[in-house]
Parts: sequence; C-alpha cells; structure tokens
Amino acid sequence: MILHHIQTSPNQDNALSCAVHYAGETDSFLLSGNGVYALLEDKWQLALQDRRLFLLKSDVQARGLTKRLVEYACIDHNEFVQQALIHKKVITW
Amino acid sequence: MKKLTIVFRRAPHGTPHGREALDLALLSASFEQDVSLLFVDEGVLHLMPEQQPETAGAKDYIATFGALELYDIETVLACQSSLARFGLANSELTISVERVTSNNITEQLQAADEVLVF
Repeated sequence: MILHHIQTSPNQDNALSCAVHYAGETDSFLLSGNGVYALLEDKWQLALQDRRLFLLKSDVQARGLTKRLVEYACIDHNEFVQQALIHKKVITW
Repeated sequence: MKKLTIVFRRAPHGTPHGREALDLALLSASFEQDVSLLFVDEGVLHLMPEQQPETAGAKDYIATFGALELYDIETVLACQSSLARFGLANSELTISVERVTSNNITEQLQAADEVLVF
C-alpha cells in the first residue's frame, strides 16, 4: 500500500495525472500545497472519487478552501507522519 | 541492497530533473543498489532518437544513457501508452527499453523499496 504525495496543481504539472494513472487499487493519496486545488475541478473529483484521499489541513486553510473541501479528510502534519508510517512507502510525485 | 526505482516523468532539457535522475541512477548503481528506470508521460521524450542537446546549449546527458549496461542497470521500462501518445510507439529509441503496460508499471512501483520521481 503506497501513499502518493502530490504537491503541485494538475494544471501546473503532470504529477497528479501520473500518480492516478499508475496507482494501485489500495493506494492512498495525499494532496498538499497547490495540489489541493485539484479538487476544485470535476475531472479530479471524479478521478479521486473511490480513493483513500487526504488533504494537508494547513494548505487547505491557507487557500481559503476549508468550506469548499469540507467533505474531504484533512490531516495535520502529525497525522501525515502517521499515514506515512502505515503505508509501505511514500512516493512524492 | 535496496530496490530503487527512478521515474522520469518530465521532458528532457527544459529542466534539470532528467539529468539529476540519471546522475542518481548511475551513482546508486555504482553503490551496488538494484536500480530500475521508468519512463512515463513526457519522460519518454528522453528516448527520442537523434537528439542534439548541445545545439541548444544544453549538456548532452542523453548520450550517457548508453552507459546503463556498464552500470548493470538492466530494468529499463517505458510506458506503452505514453510512447504512443507522443508518436514513439513504433519508432526506434535511443536505448533499448522494455515497453510495458500501465499495470506492469503499477507492479514495478509496488515491488520497489524506494521510488524517486524526477
């Protein structure tokens, strides 16, 4: 089980599309930095729909997206470390 | 010894990522790590034949890919759909690569101890 970490917006970089394309069924995703903007677009909401998905809380709050992305699991840095430990490895795309 | 997979996902020359990835691959291999290379998305453009980076003032690290066997880097995979996307599906490539499916790549990522993406 891999944790795929994406830090860039899909319009800026192909990190998210690569991660989604090559991830295994049971893998999880963490969006941080401008990566959280992806969830404002239907395309990426759909692509990540049945995935275990986390957002970095501070980056969501910093961008004023707390309400808009309220239905997504937001985690803080400690939980990020916990998640990293639970998974076999982290791939930072 | 670690199974290290290095992923090329960015096009060559525009950024230093490709060269850094190759440097890391060769360095890790020379430290007896089990290194595999993976070309996906625009990363497959590293495999475009007849590149002449020096004409644009870029350092020619593409030629250095020829040294992979010397460093015992045998697993070199390229995504078939990415190759097709950029019109490289049937053309000759700069180095011999194994053209694989997305599922093969997923398996490669799962099996590796560490994956570093450039």
